[in-house]
Amino acid sequence: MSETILSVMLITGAFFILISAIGIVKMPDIFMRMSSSTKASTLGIALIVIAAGIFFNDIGVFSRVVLISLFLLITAPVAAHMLGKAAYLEGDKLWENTQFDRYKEYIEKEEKEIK
Amino acid sequence: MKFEFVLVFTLSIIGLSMLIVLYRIIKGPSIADRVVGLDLLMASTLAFLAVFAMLSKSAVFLDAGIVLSLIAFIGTIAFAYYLQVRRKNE
Repeated sequence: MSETILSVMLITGAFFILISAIGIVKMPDIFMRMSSSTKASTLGIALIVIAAGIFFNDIGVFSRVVLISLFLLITAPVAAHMLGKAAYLEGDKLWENTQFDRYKEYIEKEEKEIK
Repeated sequence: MKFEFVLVFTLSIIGLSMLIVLYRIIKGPSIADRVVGLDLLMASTLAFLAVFAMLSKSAVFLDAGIVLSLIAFIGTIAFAYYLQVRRKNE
């Protein structure tokens, strides 16, 4: 019974990782790639690692598992934010059909205030 | 027996997605694309380690996973910082 739940968690997690890998190749610009990579990989890894914690059935292992998944949940947005800002300022092109570019408006407003 | 088949299946799916990410790292037009790819590759390696720990029934691999997630985070932050500083210096 427990092995069935573990199998479902493992296969769902692997499916999420595969989806994010396909997304990182097929998406048109870097910001969409980042969205697919950070969201999906975090959820997929949390599922697989928690499955490992249930499999070993040991408090020491389970605390490590909670540590890994919490750490990933905290650090993934920080890393994505810094990398996205750096990529935008570096001059990476947005997708041609992008509707809003709020950061550009913000930068223009800042420049006006300095003048 | 049946559960080991599920474990090997999961390992092969993760390995396939690592290969797909490798394509983006090799091709990726800018440095930031490659860094995103490397970040996802590190994350997939963490999942690979977790499944491998279940397959070999030794929880030591999960410790390696903690270290790996730390290194992946610090590496991504360092690359982003490098991109910003390089732009200021030009």
